[in-house]
Amino acid sequence: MPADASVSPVAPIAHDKETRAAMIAVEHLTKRYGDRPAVRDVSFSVKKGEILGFLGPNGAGKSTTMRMITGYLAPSGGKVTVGGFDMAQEPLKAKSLIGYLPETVPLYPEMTVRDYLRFVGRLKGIPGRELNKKVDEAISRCWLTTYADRLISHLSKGYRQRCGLAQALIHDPPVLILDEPTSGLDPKQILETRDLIRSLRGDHTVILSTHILPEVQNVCERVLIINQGVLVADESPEHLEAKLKGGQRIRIEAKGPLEAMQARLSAISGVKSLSASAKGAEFPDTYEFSLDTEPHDEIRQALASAIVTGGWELHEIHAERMSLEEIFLKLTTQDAQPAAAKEEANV
Amino acid sequence: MSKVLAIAGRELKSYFVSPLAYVVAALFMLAAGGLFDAILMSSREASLRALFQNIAVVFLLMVPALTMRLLAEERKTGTIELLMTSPISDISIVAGKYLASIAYLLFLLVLTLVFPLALVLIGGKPEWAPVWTGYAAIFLMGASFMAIGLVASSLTSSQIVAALIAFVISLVLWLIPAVGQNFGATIAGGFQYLSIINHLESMSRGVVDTSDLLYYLSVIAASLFITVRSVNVYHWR
Repeated sequence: MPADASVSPVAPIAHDKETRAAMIAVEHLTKRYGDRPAVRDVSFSVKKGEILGFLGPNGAGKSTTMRMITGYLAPSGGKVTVGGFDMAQEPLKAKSLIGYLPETVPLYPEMTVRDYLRFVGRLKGIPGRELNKKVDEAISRCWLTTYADRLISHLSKGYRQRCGLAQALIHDPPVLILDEPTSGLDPKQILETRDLIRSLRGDHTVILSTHILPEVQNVCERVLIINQGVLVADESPEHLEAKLKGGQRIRIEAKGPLEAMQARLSAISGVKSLSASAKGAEFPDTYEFSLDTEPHDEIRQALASAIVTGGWELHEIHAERMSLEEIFLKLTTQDAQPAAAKEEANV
Repeated sequence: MSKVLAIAGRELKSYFVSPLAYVVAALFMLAAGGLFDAILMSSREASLRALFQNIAVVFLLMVPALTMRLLAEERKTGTIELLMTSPISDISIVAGKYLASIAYLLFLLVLTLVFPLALVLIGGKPEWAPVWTGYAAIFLMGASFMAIGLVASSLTSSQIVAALIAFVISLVLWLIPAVGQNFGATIAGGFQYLSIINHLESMSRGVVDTSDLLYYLSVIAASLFITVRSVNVYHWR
């Protein structure tokens, strides 16, 4: 979260929404493997200079979507346009605008870092006279200077990841697709990489995938969440955070006088709203309560003891679990953050 | 074109930084040298015709091991994703790969120039026309095996499976006249034409028949075409 409003990316974007052209347009993108859909009818567009975070659990379809955007996989349905070029019609023009860091970093272990980057530079069509300069730039930008003449097979995981980042940046592409750019990095390297990605804002259009929530909050102006191949959210990180931390829903089943229980439960601090319904004729005096509360774990204890000390029967109490909650739990636990995600999944 | 050369150059470099290129070249020269010696001593003839036949057998066994990694390894390690998301067509990727294998083939054949040189040095007077047409034929044959190996390498991400497929297809093309003998003369003639070794025999006599050239060029063109289609299918997996 940017502390200073002047670096907050959200406000200016709302401003020139109209003036910034869509750099990447994804329309009704679908990928099926046999009968199994991996990505279903995903549509979104990314404006020039925007940094978009792509969140979702493993296997949600993030990598598949990115592979379709970069032209590696052909979609089963729908269309991808990069910089105005249709990936299916003019793949070479579209691809020349993209720098891509795949999930498995595409390295040739028998090459040195410098040779490898020269090779990628030539593949991307950098003219010979600029090649050395571009290679040196990519090397220093990705903190590889002391490793430039080492064999890639001798590099650690973190430096291989940087090498992958360097190859994505080598031709200074207007569009960057980064599939988990910080995976395998140590905490210092993660911070450096985030700084690097932040520095691309404005000139470059970036899509980066991650399952680390703070990364999105740190770097991205906009977040897409994908689950089981379907786009479930398209938000700014601020909105997402509000949704994540906004509260939790608790269900209680208890036996006792309705009015007294209601009064007692709604008096507990942190309870925002409460609704009750009778369980049915077979269960006299038994009610089900649904409460929206602040996201504290202590509230459940307070609610339980309120019913018990009231002399009523507590049958059941639990926090609502929805599919997105699991995503968010996963996201938040990745960076050892307290699980604050107890929000119903109607985003 | 510069991108095709980049792919070919990287491929060749990776051959030559690993021991594979040298081991294969050494074994090849050992086998070819042994055969040259044996043939020369028994025939007492300043000719390379029989040697070319024998080198063809060595190629049959060796080329699958040279070509197996070309595309299979890129798929296994994921580097194919880099190639296929770069602004370069599938045809150029295949062309780069093939160019690298042809360059290696030329390297091997250049090494064998010591044999005609040896003939001259020991005072032999070989007929030069069959030597050069023989070289052209063994080059075309090796290039055909390389193309078949490239197809095989595009079909699987396992190098061993790729080598086996390449070897089996090459062997079938070698032995196909034997199948033809079960049928009438016309059909047998057709099968004779399909044989990859018959064209080498006829060319190394010193006569270049267009039908021989056409045969090898067709095998290469068909193989490269199938490889491009097969690489194209990676997009649809």
